[in-house]
Amino acid sequence: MFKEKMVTPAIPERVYAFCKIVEKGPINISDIREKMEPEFLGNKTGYFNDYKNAAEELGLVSISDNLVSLAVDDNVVKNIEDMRRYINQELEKFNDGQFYLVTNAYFKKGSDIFKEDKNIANLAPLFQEMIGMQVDPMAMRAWRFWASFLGLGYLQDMFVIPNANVFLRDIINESGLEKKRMYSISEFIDILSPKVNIIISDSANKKFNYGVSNGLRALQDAGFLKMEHILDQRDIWTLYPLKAYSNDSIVTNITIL
Amino acid sequence: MNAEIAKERISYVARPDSITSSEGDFLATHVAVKKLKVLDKFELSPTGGKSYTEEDLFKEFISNPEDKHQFIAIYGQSGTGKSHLIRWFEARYEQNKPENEVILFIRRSDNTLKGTIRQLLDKPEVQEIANKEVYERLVKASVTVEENKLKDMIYHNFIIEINNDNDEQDIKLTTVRKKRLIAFLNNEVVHDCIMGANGPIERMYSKIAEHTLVDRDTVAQFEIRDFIVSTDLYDNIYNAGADSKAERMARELMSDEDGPVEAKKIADYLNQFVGTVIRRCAGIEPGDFKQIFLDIRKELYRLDKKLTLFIEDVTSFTGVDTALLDALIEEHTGKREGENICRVSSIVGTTNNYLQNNFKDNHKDRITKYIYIPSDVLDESGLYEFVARYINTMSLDEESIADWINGNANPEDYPVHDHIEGKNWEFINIGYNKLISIYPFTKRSIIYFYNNVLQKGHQTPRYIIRDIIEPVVRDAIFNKEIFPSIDVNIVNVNTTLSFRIHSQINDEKSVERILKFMSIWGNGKPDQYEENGKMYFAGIPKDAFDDFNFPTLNLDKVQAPIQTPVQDLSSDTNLISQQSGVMISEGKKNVESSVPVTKIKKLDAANKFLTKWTNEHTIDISSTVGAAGTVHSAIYDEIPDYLYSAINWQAEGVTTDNAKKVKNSSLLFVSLEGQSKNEGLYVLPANWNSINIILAFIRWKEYGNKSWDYPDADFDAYFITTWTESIKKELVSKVKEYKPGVETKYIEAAIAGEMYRTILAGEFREKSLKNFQIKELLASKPNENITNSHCKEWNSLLSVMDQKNAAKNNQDTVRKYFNIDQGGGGKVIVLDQILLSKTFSKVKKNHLEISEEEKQTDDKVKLRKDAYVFLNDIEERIESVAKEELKIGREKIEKIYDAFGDDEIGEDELSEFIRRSKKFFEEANNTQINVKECRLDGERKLSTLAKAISDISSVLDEEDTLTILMAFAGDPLTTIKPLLDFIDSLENEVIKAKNQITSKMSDLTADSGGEEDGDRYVIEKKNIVEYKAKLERMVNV
Repeated sequence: MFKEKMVTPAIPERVYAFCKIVEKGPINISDIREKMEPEFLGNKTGYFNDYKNAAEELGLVSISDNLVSLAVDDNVVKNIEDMRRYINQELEKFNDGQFYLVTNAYFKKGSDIFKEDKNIANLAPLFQEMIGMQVDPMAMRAWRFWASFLGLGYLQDMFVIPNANVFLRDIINESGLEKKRMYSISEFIDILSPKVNIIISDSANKKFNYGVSNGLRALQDAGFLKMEHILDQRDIWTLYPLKAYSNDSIVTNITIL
Repeated sequence: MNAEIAKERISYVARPDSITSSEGDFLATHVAVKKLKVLDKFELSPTGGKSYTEEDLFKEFISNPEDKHQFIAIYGQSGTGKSHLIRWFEARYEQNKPENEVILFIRRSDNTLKGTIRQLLDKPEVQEIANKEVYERLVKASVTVEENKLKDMIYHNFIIEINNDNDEQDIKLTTVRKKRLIAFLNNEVVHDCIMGANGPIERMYSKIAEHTLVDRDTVAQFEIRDFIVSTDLYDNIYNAGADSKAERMARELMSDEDGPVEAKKIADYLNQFVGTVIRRCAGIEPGDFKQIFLDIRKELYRLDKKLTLFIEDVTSFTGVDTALLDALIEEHTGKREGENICRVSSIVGTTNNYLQNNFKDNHKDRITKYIYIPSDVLDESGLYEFVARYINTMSLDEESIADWINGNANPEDYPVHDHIEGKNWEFINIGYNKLISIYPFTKRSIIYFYNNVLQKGHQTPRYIIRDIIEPVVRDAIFNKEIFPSIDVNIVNVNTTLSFRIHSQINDEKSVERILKFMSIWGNGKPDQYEENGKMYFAGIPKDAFDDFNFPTLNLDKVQAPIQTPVQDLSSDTNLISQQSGVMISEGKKNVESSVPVTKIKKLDAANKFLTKWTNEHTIDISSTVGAAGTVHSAIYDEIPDYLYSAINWQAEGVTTDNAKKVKNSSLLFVSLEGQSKNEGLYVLPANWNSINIILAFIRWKEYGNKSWDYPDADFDAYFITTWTESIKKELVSKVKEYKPGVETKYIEAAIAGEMYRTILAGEFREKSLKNFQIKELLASKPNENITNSHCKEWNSLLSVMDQKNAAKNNQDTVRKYFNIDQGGGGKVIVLDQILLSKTFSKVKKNHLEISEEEKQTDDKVKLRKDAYVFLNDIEERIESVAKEELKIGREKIEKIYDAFGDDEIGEDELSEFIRRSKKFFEEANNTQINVKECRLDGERKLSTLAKAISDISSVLDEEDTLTILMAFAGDPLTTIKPLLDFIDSLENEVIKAKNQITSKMSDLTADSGGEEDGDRYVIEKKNIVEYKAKLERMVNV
């Protein structure tokens, strides 16, 4: 799912349910399968391997001699939000994987994504061209579940509206950034790197793309952080301009509140 | 403007009816019209051709240089200025008329038939006409009937006309239809509707009743809309118990397809009687009128005078209009030669519609010239001048105007008021270097009002006065501190400007006021610039802001436009006609897309509707049309659809089944504060922020056709996603709850219900729940309709459970609830095993019982409540089902006990019973007793039979309903049925054998009558006694 091709059955909630069973103690693969997809349900095919593999890829479980064990601390799967926070920290490990590359391309696309087809599955050729790797409609359909779950955007039917506020909050919370301390924007980015690289598309020009800008503004609106433009500062990044929000898109400093 | 004077004068000057204003005010506000058309033949809406000024027409036609008989019709849509033009022609002619010319000007200030005739008789030139006394008596017999009575009289006179219609009219109705129409009109609901405000009877009433407020250009006729029957009206007619004929007609008129056609037919038919009814109710006959007019013309001839007649509105003559036209069109050299009538030049005002429909062809043919006033008679500069002159006139005292009039009203002497207010506002040059400030307007605001406030067809001088000048000036002079407070939609509100104002001003009313001012009076942009030392905000000079005490704003600083706002506006090419493709983007990244005007207007209407909501804190969005309908769609469709997909319900701990059930319920995800119908889980407060949320969804649907591809969608998308995050926690928590603080537990009821169903349907046949596992719960099959031996109550409960697919739906709930769904796709069920185990164990542990306190039977989410309803349907019946089933079971089992003479019957006892029964038949055969041998069906399945007997026996003294049900779940009564049948058959055969033996015995007794044969059958007799004893022992086993 993260290393190679994205598949729709490997949705986050199944990965989580899988881990919760394993959390109780090592368990044989066939036993978990029987618990999650028992034969008596009459399923003609199974999804089991897809979400089992995703859990394994993400390092949540380890499998040895058909015995599945939890590979992380119990706290990581205490609840699904904890699992999300953990996965968001791990994404950079898959930076040559399909999910990572498509996500990066999606953020790079900025608000121009609105001009594209409303069904994300139909954007497979577009992303294939952008990332130089084969992407099919199924992969895009799978991508939307994780993009939405990891807090990169909001699902609207088959479209994803970019707004990375949840992802950014997770990364910031785990970054060690001190509260109430004003960081220069470069310090802020440096501390968050490389974990935010997946959504930063134009660091050379120090521009926050639309989805990241939305995320930062949403976090500011929620009182989580404060962005400032201190006029004599030269270290600047520019947010995607939203005139209705503010006529000033320049950020020089950020304080976590 | 001089507000002090204007406060006094506005009521006199800003009168939409030019005839009612004074001569001075009339001339001071007059703007020369230049786009008049002249035609020889009637055309409804002529285009092209030469345009004439009013002066051209006066010289060429009105002044009648050839002194000929003529009839000139001046027509145009309502409010285009026909009266104004006719009055101007009259005033102009008064100054130049020949000595022997008598001018009669028929005003419509008293727009009734009698009032009109009275105006004629009041003219000094006709004081000596013949029969004057008779005529005066006629018109002075004023109608003093009460309004309601008079209206009723009009109404019923139409019914009388239909009743007495002998098919002499051009438009005919069949007798059946006439009867239906009469029944329809006699219906009380229809009567009230047609008699209502703005209905046809009110229109006709205005032509008869004196001293009524006249709705100008009202044509006293029935219209199609008068007879269109809405669904509500039909319901009212039906509920009031309408006559079947009336109801039939109402139904026809309600039809979407044929209704309008039928309504037109009826309107046309009834319009044939309008003249007759009006005359009858007014007490005047056409002959009277024609005679009056002829007498006037004769009198003038006698005085060697000629007549020029200006009739402001020919509809004043409704009822006698044909007679009037006959009298006017008749030339003085015509057939009445010898009767000596004077020459008449008539200039008659009429609306397009009246001219088209009420002038007969022979009249139209004899009209000398048609003068057409187009609707857009004022061009852009004319419009500004028109407004400026009205503002100027109301700011001048009457003396100043009178002085100007007395000085021949020369344009170069035109007085200009002292500019007390609006010294730094835009000025209009009306010629001769006369500069008039248009305070409290800007040119933009005039154009805005003209384009957006006036309806199509109402962009005429009358409505400019009534709907623009009068309300805006009144607002500025009487409500200055809250100006602009007039109720007007901001078309295409600039979201950026709106947000920028809101970020700087907290008071919602001030925000609304300043946003309206900047959007309508200014260019609506969030820009400020400096030019020639003056600051401009949204293109409006700061002085204008200061005049109304608006707070100072901090907007985006931009370069001053190349042209000043005044120059910029005046150079716009015909802003008035700019009706399509309104730009809604403000140039961000050179993205400029146009959105159809209809969609912009739809959004603006919704905006206005929602703004009203923020003021009143109540809202009714039950309608699915209009602005309410637009908001309805957002609240009932767009927002729930979006939230359903945007929130990861499963990740938030809400099963897809629950989220879906809530979404499909009458409970809305999001409702509006003070919403009249349907509750919501999250209530949007009535504030500006909520308006923007809703408008963003409306724009997404309307502007983007359900996409974010439209100008400024980037902000909307940011706005709604951020809002989603802000309400998610609360909304999720509400979806999880049945009531505040109480988690929804419908799945427990659904599982209990499904387990009951599984037991009652015989899918689970064990005597204890111990072996009821998840497999039994989820792999169960739907009910199969097979015959069984259950009691009537048992089968009846199975039927109840199947009603409306309840069992199937409940089963679906159980199967889907624990499925970890992938966005509605995928057919494979993946179980949330931990949740399933936990819930299932709880239900099992509680023995399928849910305490009354825990039942959520009043859940507002119907689909969740259904689980409790289903369980309840089962629970309230199972006790009687168990009782009745047990009663039958007891009866049957006791029969077996009796047959066996024992109450412990196992496989051994059954085998022995069968063995003995076989022996009986063998003996019967050996002794030649004629019995029919019978066998036990399923003789080899004695273990099943023994189990069934045991199942029933085990619960004979049981009181626990569920235990009894489980005992009978496998339908043991069906299993023991063959045994019971066998016992019955066996008993019958034994009786038969007994009877045969008895019969044979009696035969034996009869044969031993002779003593000589006394020892003949000694051995046989002994055998019989022995066999008999054996048989009896067997039967009595």
